[in-house]
Amino acid sequence: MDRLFLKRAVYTPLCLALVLGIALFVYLKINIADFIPLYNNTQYAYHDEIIKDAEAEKTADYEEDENACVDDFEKNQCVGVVRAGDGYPIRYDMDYSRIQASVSLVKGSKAFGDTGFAYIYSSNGNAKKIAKDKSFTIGSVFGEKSYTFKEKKSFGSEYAVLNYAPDCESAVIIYYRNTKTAGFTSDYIALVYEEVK
Amino acid sequence: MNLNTSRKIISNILHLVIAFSTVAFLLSLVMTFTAADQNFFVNQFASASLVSECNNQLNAKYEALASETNIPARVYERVKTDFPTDEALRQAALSVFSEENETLYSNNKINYFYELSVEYLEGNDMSYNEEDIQRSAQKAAEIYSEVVGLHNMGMVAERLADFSSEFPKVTIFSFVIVLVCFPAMMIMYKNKKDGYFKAIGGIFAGSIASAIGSMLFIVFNPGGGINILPEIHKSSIVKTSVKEFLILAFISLLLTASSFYVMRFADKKIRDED
Repeated sequence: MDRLFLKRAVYTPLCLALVLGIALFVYLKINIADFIPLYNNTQYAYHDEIIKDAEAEKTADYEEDENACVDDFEKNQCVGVVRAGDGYPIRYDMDYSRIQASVSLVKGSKAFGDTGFAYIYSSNGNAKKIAKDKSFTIGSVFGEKSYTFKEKKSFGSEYAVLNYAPDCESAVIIYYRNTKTAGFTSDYIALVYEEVK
Repeated sequence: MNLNTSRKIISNILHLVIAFSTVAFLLSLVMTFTAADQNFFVNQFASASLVSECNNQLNAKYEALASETNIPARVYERVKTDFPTDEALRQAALSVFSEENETLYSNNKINYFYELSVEYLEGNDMSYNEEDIQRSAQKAAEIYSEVVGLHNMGMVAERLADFSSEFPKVTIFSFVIVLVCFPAMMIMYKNKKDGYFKAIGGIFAGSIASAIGSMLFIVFNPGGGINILPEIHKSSIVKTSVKEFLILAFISLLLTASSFYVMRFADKKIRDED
């Protein structure tokens, strides 16, 4: 190709194009949110973390940690195990689809062993198996704690369960949606287990 | 400053303006026909990966619901046959532009799950309480809405409306600037060949810049800066944006080749004047 032509017509625009191209890339990198139809930092649907290995879900994998704090847990993080019934991993703010193998430590709960109450949501099947044991231990990042059955109460809503404060210093409240033959009844059943110091 | 220097400065400015306007023109043109287009928006919700993920989610959540309600998961999962997930996703996306409910949660859906449950229970001679079944049907409809429906879409329709009014404006505006700058550049040069080289060179530079920028973006930044939940919606949006920038790169390369050809043509056909 003609060298003179390249010098007169191509080289300068090419240099400019390189600078503009990199500038465009940087601009797009910073402002990409302005070019997509959905708003950034927004949740558009509520999907669960899908578990591929159902058997692995049943094993509780946690380590004791002196500095553990409930507010620092991540969603679905395994924080302990209820040693009752078949044994159930406790997951923080658990996805609904994991309810068959695990139980959920509800947001806003106190740490096991602390003054206050830890609220655990369970499926009715698992809760009934746990309820067969009048006492059990919970091994968790907060250490090993023992609990003994105190009372069973019925509530009209989940909100009422989470606002219930039993007459004891430290307890675990395991609750579930009640069912008779099929479907859900209107009540939530709470099993209160007091900590044995 | 003599006349020659002023002419050089002005022609370089015009060259830069043409290049910059070409980038703006190409980018806004592609955005007008992609990001601002309602069909393009709806189609991104019908991707095979999104449909498959939604079906997996429905299976997992209905298995969990089945374990609590004593109604088998297959009863709830019939919703995937009666309301195919790809069509439901498209319907949810289309509803963003109409008065309809994009969350797909409705009394009709609750009644649908209620009828399915009752059909199963009666078919198996199982006793049941209507209100209990109504509650589980409500939960099944909530799950369907959480997974397949679209939430927090409040201002998205307005955003798309803004896109479809703003991007064409930028396209026309940048096109007009190129149209004005082109003859202005020709006036600057006595030697018409230099004028052509400088003016078309601006378009040439702008189109290569768009191709370089979009290709760099596709290679180095797919997904960066986009923070949308759930992850599958994010990957769907990322794939769409990659598609948009691939189109941009392709059109830019076409324009690059065309402008190069025109410059070569001018080089051969127009004689240098002194």
